[in-house]
Amino acid sequence: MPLPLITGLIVLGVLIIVGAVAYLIDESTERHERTRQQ
Amino acid sequence: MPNLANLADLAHLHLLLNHFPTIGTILGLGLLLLAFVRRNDHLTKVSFEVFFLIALATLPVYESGVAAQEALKGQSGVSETAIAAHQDAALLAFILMAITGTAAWLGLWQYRRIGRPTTATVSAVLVLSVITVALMARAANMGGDIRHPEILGGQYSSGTETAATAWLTSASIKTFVLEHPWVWPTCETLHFLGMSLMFGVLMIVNLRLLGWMKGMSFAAVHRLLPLGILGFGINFVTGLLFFIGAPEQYTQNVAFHWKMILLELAGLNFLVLTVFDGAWMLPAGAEPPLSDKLLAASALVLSVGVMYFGRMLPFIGNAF
Repeated sequence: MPLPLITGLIVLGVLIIVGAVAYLIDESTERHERTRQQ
Repeated sequence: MPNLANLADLAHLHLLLNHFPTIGTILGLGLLLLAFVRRNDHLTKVSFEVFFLIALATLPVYESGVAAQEALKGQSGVSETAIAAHQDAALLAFILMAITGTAAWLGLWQYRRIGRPTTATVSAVLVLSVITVALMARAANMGGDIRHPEILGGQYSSGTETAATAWLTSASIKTFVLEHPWVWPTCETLHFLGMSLMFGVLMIVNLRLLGWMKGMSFAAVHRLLPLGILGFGINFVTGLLFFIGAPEQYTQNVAFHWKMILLELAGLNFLVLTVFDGAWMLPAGAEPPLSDKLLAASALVLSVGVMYFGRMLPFIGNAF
């Protein structure tokens, strides 16, 4: 596999994982915030 | 640019600092257990702060340890096998300490957002800290074998041969980084993206503290901080791969020494930014007090300094 392709795929994969983790942290914290306010 | 420290200075620094991670994690775990017994939320928060601070302190301990290894290379009476085993054990403990510190930071952030950390976060910090204490103690014990012939081979000896065969070793990581041509450019790209993510978040949060974007409350921008810590996580992993791949480019590099000093200070600043009460009360439209502005300005100066010295590694220092 050519170097730019493998580099690009790994970078894309890491960014997707980081984005998903950030989203899950934010969503879960917001859910707790809503529960607390009720 | 004059050198801040030579290899012998760094070896000395390692001897001065190397007890902090072991004692600090035991202290943090003790505080956390006491918090459970007393059902005291304040103690839990303090234990999380201790874990974050010890994770910060472990960074120079690990890096000065690698410099100490270079300083001791070829000296008689010192076993290179014992040093390599200690370094591998320390690497594993360092990685676990960084994960524990990050989980503890998440708990501190949740204290601000929702008043207390979630059960999942507290459980994660507890489990991770127990593993970290065990790994730190093991690494410290192996470190003692290097220069303490009175215990070497006796009942307190750590048995370095077993650790040397572990799968996660500095040597295997170094081979992986240097023998695959895609690893270094991939890490460089990720390091740049992680830095952009971290600095972007720090810019937004600290510019609000400086009095910009008054339409937003500080609480609204504080919500972005986990993205910043994830950016730092990317840079921690990729930076560690660079460091293990070519340690000699960093241990004797003045730009790297400055980068680490500023990074430690920026870490302290980040902790204050996460937990302190003053700015949290800042509603939309309010002008921040001078103390908050000074904190924000120092965060931006430190972050720019870290990036500057990172970029200057080959020019001021001797990398590449």
